[in-house]
Amino acid sequence: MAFGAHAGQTAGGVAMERLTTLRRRLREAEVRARNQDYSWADGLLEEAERAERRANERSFMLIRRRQKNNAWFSQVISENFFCLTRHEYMTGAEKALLIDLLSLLELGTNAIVHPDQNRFCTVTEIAELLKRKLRNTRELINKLIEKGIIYEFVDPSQIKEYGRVITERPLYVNPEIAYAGDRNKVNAVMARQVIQYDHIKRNKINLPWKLEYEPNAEYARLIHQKKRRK
Amino acid sequence: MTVIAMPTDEEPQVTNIAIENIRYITENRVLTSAEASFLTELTILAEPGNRLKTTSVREIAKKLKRSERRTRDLLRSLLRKSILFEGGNQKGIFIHPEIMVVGDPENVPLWLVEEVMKLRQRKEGPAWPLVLMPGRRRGVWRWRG
Repeated sequence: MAFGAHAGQTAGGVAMERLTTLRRRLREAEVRARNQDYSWADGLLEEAERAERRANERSFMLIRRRQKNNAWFSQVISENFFCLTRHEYMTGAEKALLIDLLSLLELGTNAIVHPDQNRFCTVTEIAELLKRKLRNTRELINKLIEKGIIYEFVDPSQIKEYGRVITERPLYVNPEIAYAGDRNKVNAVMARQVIQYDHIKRNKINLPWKLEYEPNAEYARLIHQKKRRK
Repeated sequence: MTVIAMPTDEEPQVTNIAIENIRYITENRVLTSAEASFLTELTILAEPGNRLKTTSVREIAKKLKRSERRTRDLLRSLLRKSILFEGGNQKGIFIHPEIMVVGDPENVPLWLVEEVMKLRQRKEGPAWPLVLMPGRRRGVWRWRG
C-alpha cells in the first residue's frame, strides 16, 4: 500500500515537472515572438522616419493613409429611374433583372462581367449566375437592349463572316440609369455611344440627368437638363 | 456655336446598392421579382437617411402607378422580410440600409445604424454578408465573420 502511494506520488511529480517545463517553454516562445514582432515594428518605424526625413528635405511630407472602405456599391440615378417608372418604360420583370445585373457591374466601366473569371459575361452565364431561366433572361436582355437600358458592343467582322455574333457580346448598363463608380468620371467612349444611340430619347422620354462631356475631355458626367444652359 | 455650360456644384440624388448583399438576395432568392422591382421603385420615394417620404399606401400606389391592393401586399411582404422596417426611435418606415442607401453610403447616420443593430439583435432579416456597424461618428461597413 505504502509502495503504491509512493509510486503514485512519483508519477504525479514527474507529470507536474513536465507541465512546468511545458509552461516555461511556452512562455519563452511567447517572449521570443513578442521580441521579434517588436523588432520588426521598430524597423518599420525607423524606415518610415528615414523616408519622412528624406521627403521633408525635398519639401514633401508623408501623411498617414486612412483605411478605406472596401464596400462596393452600384448607384441608381434615382430621378432618371423615377422618370422611367412614371412613363412605365420598363416592366417589373425588366426592373428586377436590372437590379440583379447591378451586382455584376465592373467598377468604372459598367460592363457586365463574370465576378470570378474577370471577362465579359455571356447571356447563358448571366442566367446561371442570377439563377434565372436562360430563355427568359435572353428575352429580357434583348428587350432592355431595345429600350436602351443595356448597350452592347458588336464586332461587325463576325457578322460579315458568319452572319451573326458568335462570341460573347460585351454588355453594359446605360450609365444614365445606373453606374458603378464615380458618376462624374464616366468613360467618354461609353458616354459617346449612349449619347449617339439614345434609345430612351428616341422613345420620347427626356431623362432629367443626361451625360455630357466637354470636347476632348477624358470623362463625361451627368448634367441636369433644366439647369443646362445653351 | 453652342456652348454648353457644365456647372460643377450639382449632383443627382443616387441610391447606392450594396452589390454583395444584392448578390446574396439573388443567390438565396430572398425576394421575388415583383418585390425586387417594387423595392427599387420605393427608393425614389425615400429621402437621405432611407426614410420613406410618405407612408400612406394610397400615395405610394399613386406615385408608383400601381394598384393600392398590390402596393399594400408588397409593402406588407417587404416589412415581414425586414427589407423595410419601422423605426424604433425615429418615426417612419425605412429601407434597410444594408441593401441600399439613399445618399452617401460612407455617411450613414449612427441612429440608422442603431436601428439596424436592433433588427440584428432580434435576428430579424437575412444574414447579409456586408453589414453596417457603428463607427465613431457614422456607420462603417464590415464583412460578416
